[in-house]
Formats: sequence, C-alpha cells, structure tokens
Amino acid sequence: MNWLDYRLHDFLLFAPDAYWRLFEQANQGVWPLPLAFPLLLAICLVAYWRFKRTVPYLAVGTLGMAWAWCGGFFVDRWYVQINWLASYAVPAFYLQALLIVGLGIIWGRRQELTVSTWRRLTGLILVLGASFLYPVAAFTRGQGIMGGEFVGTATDPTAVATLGFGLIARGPLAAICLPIPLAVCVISFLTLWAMGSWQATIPLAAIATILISLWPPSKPSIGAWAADR
Amino acid sequence: MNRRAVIQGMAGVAATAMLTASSPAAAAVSAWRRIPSTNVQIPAVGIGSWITFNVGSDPVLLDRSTRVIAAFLEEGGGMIDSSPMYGSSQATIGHALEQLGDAGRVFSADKVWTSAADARGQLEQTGQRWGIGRFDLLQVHNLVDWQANLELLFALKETEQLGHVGITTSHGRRHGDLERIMATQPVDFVQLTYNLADREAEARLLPLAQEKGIAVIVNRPFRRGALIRHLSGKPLPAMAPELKAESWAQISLKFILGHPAVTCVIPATTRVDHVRENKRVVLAPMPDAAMRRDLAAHFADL
Repeated sequence: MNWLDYRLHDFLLFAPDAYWRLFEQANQGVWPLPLAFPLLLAICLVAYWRFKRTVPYLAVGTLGMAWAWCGGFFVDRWYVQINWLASYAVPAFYLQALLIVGLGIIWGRRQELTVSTWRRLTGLILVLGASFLYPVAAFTRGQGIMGGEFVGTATDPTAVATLGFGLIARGPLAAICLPIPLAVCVISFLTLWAMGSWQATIPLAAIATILISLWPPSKPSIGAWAADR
Repeated sequence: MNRRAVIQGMAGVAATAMLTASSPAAAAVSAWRRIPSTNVQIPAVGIGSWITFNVGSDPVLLDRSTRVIAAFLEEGGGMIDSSPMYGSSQATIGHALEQLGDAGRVFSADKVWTSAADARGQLEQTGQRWGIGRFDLLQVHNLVDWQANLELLFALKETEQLGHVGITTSHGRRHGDLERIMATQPVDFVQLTYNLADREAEARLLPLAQEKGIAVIVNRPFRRGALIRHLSGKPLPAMAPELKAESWAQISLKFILGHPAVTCVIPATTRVDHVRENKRVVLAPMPDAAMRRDLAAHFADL
C-alpha cells in the first residue's frame, strides 16, 4: 500500500451532518448532565481566585471525570458508530483521566499554579472559551444548544480546557496536560478540515496558543511574563 | 419467486422503456446489464454506501437513508454496495430493508475487508447487519489478503452460499495487481474507479474485463461530489440535448455507462431526488464511442 496515494479526505468516514448530530443525540440522552462539567470548571475558576497558589482538587477531579466520561460516553458509545478508528483512541482518554487525577490528587498539595501572568491569562481564556464558547458554536451550524459541544461530552472542548489548565498549572501536572490533549486537537483539526468546517480553526488556534506560550522556554522580552519567572 | 428471477424478469419491462427512449444518433444502451459469467441481468445504476449511509443510530438520518433506498427500489432497485469498512452503512441498509420489506429488488453486494483468518466471522457479521443470509456478490475489498480471501469466496460460491465473486479497488490504486488478478482468477466482478477525470482504467482494465467476461462496477463516479462541484456552472457539452442530459451529473453517468465494458455504476447519495435522477439517466440515450471521446475532450478543455 502506498500511503502517498491517499489524501486527507480519504480517511474521513462520515458526512458532516452525521458528525454534528452526534452531539445532539449524546446530549439529549443525558441532559442536563453536559452542563455539569462547564459549571464545575466555573466553580474552579472562583476557587482559583480564592486560592491562587495551589492546584484546586475540584479542578483536577472535574477534568479527570471529564476525560473519563468523554472517552467512555461520547467516543466509545457515540463517535465509534460513525468512526471505527475512534475506538483506538478510547484508552488514551482513560489514561488522561488517570494521569490528571493521579498527579492532581496525590501530588496536588505540592503542585503550585504558574506564577506567569501570560500563561495564567492564556490558560484562563482557553478554559473559559472551551467551557462557554464552544457550545455556542452549535448555533452557527443551525443547531440549538442541545447540539453544542460541551467539556466532558465532546472531545474538542475537553482537550482545549485541559490545555488551558496545563498552562495554569506547573511542573509534572502541567506536563501531563499537554501531550494527549494536543494530539486530540491535531486529530480534530484534521478531521474538521477534511469536513470543510470553519471550526477546524479552533483546535488549530489552541495548538498555536500552546506552542507560543511554551516556546521559547523563556521570554525576556515580555515584561510581566519574564518578571513572574 | 427468488430474487434473481425477479431481477431477470424485471429486465424485460425496463428494456421496453429503454426502446421508447433511445435515439438513433446515440448508442442503444439498455437500463439493464448482463453479468457475463452468469447471464444474470441487473440494473445499470446501483447505489453505493460509502459515507452517505454511515449515520450510526441517528433516527433522523436512518429515516433519510430509508427514504433514499425506498426511492431506489421504486425506480427499479438493483445493486446496493457496502463494506465493513463503511462504519454503520451495512446496518443502515439492513434497517432500511427491514422497514421496507422489499429486499427482492436488491442485488446485495458487500465485501470482505480483513485477513483470511477473520474473514468468516466478518462475513457472518455482515450478513447479520444486512439481515440476509446469502449475498448476490461478495468482493475482496481493496485487495486485502486477496489470495486467501478469494479462495474463501470461491468456495462459498461453489456451495451456492454466494452468487458472485469480485475484487475491488478505488482511487486508481494498485491497477497493476488488479490486472494480474483479473487475468488469472475466475472472478465474476471487478470494482474500480472510473469517471470523466479518472480514466486510467480505459487503457487496460476495461478492455481486459471485456476480454475475460468480467462484469465491471464503477465506484466514485462523481469523485465523492468533487467532480460535480468542479463542473458546477460550466457549460454542458453541445451534445447534451441529444443525450437528454440536463446536468453534469447525468453527463458524468452517461459517460461511464456508455463504455461497453461497464456493467453497473454505484453513485452514493443522501438525496431522494438525486437517486431518481441517477436511475433515470439510463432511460435516455447513451453516448456512443465517438460521443464519449467528444465528452472527454470537452471535459479536458474546461
């Protein structure tokens, strides 16, 4: 088999309407549970302002549950119906859940949040955007809020919120918040690009944001960011 | 009356319709085509299921797919082609056939797409998803483990558990291997990509199919819609009125079906009006060899 003969579109197994309607069906089945993860993350943000320098257990618990639920509920129960390749991704979702909860709970007391203003602000924007703007994108597709992509019931906002959390955290906890969510964003970008959806720009923007935020390792020219370091 | 007899019996009715529609300036091409190895007649326009019927358990999209298959059967039925690779498409077809209760007009075509060790299990699952016990055609998908899988399919045909055996490729891939298989294996069908833009098969595969008496199924007649989008707004060829063609989709199908080696084309769609338009293409005149050359030249000039 010559893989050079294949184009991105050849790996797309489903039509856009079948993909977008998955979220509507998944949400309808468990409504209003999909609202829970974004609301919990909002509570985490409040906790963040109150306890600024340590990792909130609620945040790691919420993100851990979000990855487990997203993998077990959305990917393994719904997405695999139209994309059998997705079944290979399910273990990665469980692994991410274990890593976040494991590092967050076990080492949480020793984990401090970043002191970088730049990363903190960027991370907050990603978490807020994933929690509250992603679902609204459904309206641009002619769907109601029931067709929205929510953290915990859809892969993309779950990954983007975790990337945001990875920027806010530091040390090992920050490190384990990047590889799998970045991989999800890359796959999602390619999928949505092949579908011809403008939403491909969202995971791409998330990837770019992470790369810009983490590279180069030190940014002496950015005053506040450098001063915090 | 069994399915094969029904399909053969319906051929006469369609042939009559064809005669009233044919034009002396164009090639007289029947709406039905003969499978050379068995003389079974099947409608020239079938339906594919890649992507379009992969709708999971969505009740709205399952209903839409059922309406498409209902229209296909109303227009004469024929080959419905699927594969285990196509996600939930097999189950969607099974759902529709159960709802419609009209599998008699279907020439059931599916594929084996795994190693020979797992092939029997996959075929059993395929039959369960369709809700039928015997397929009219089973093909080795994209030449996967083709030696062993063809051996299995030939054995099933030998014991009358299967009507026909075929092998498939798409996107113009592995034509060299396909040619060798066609030359050496007693396959009934070959499935390949052929359309106005992808004409590599004209050079060797289509003539070889004619020479060896192998029925030809054409997939991707519209390049998954990209060909029609590319041609949208561009002028139809001057011969379009003579062919009673009003769209590039009709021109594209006529170009394919006008080739004497082609038995069946399997456009996939989610729209009832497109199914009806596709099926009725063969009730109007078909291009002869000279017209097909002009069509290809016109397309190349666009």
